[in-house]
Amino acid sequence: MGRVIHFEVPVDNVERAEKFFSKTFGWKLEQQNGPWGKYLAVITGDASEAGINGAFYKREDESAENARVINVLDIDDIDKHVKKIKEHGGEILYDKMVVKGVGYLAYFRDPGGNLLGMMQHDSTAGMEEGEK
Amino acid sequence: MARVVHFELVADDVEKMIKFYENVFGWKVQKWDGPIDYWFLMTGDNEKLGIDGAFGKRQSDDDTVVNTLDVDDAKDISEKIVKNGGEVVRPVSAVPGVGWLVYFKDTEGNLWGAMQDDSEAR
Repeated sequence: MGRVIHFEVPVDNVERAEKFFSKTFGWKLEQQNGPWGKYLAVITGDASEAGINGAFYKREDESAENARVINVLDIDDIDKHVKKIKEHGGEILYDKMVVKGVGYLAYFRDPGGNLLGMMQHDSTAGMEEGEK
Repeated sequence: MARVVHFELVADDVEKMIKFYENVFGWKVQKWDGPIDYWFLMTGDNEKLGIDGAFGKRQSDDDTVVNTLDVDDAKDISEKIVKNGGEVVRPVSAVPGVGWLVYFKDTEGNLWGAMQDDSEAR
């Protein structure tokens, strides 16, 4: 199964977005060191309660791919799922990429045109032998 | 705090959409027994981290993925959204037997839902 476990929100102005979500909904932002540099993790509440956390990412441009909230599914085998998506009428937008120390990530479009991501978690992804 | 508890997708071809998620990700699909065409997507074990969602038919080309937050008071949240620079896109309305739902845009233009659970909502 590919459960939805994470969301990504495009923002133009990080401070403005942080202010809005913290004042309105009590969300907390945490700067973390991510695979692409600074990564803004969004904590939406207590982990013991139903729901998921997410992240902000800087909006690159106004094209559809870069201007949407994207949900990420947790999957066990990214190669298998890339293949299956193509077989069943989906489209791979960004093929398997390594997120060092986190896992393997790909983005796809489903038959309804919705953009989603999927992640195979693997803490050894992209690590040199000595780093594992 | 308001957690993200639900996601909504859009579909043009319902059958194709159902087959895709059943075959690729093993999701279970169940049509809602409510006043609008809406299909629930069960993405896995409820005991595990993650959320379920749903899809509806595309109403316009602008339709997109919408995540829904769980809130205590939809009216109160609507005021806060506006006060803090967001925009209420569709005011609080009843989802019969489910709760009170408001759609809004955040300061960055992203569309969200906020739902106050209430089985008495009419």
